[in-house]
Amino acid sequence: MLIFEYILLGFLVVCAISVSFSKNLLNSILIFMSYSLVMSIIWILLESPDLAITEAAVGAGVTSLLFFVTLKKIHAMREEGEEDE
Amino acid sequence: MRLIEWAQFIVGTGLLITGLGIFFIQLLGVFKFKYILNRMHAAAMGDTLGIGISLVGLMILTGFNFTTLKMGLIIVFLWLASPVSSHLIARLEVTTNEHLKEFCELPEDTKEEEEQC
Amino acid sequence: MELVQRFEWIFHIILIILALMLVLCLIRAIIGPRIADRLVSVNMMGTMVMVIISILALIMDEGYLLDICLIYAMISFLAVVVLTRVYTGVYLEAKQKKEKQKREVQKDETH
Repeated sequence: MLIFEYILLGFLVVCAISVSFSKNLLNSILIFMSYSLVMSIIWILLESPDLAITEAAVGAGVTSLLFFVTLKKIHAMREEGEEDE
Repeated sequence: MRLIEWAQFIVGTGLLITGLGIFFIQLLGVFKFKYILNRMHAAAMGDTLGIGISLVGLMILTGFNFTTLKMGLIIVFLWLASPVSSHLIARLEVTTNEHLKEFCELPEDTKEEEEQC
Repeated sequence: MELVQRFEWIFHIILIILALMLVLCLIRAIIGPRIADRLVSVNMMGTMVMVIISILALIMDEGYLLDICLIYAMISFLAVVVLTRVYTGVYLEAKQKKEKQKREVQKDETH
């Protein structure tokens, strides 16, 4: 069980670093969503299922979807390929 | 009584391990295919079959109580939602990719349309 | 049920393999050239997290965890729907803007 936690914590570190290094905003939001996916498993392993449910509902659900919609509002939805037009 | 428990345990873990194998095949498919539209075939396989078999295995392991109904509800919801989401992703890819012709040959009628517009 | 407790090491190994697959899914999400690859891999990660949570629910013998699994099923579906609708909307708007500019340019040349 310990190795499982180490792998998940390593996953979180990789997720956090790759969010900041990704150029495209859309890509960082998707990786942010996977960060909150794994974060709720860790809450379960820490014996607190209520926090896991809130993390699941808020982290993956509300925040990521609101980020998508804000991206549309500020017209920053660009693929890398389209920038150099 | 012991025999039933043993049988239940072996069948449950067996199904769980086959579910795990399907996830492995799904991952293999996603990494092997180069273009997204073929990659999606492999990805959608895990969403419906992989989780279906592993959850059935878990249902057998937990025996018959309230959690088994929840797992059944999850399987039913996923079998409804996963094809729809794969279809949406495929449509997203087709509409936003201008040079689609390099990756896959389009049916004849859309080719003329594309030449005209 | 005591069999599950006795043979718990099988489930630990299955959880470790699933965690490794999750990391591979993340690598696919980071590499993925187009937005659809990333969306597909986030969808796959959601499914794997759901299997992990249901195995944890079995080990800890808590039915409560399966609600989290259900929430993730709905959220990963909702995210796909919202993102595809928003992204195609923005893309088609940009395309129409470009065509309008092209038509204006042609009109100026003809005058």
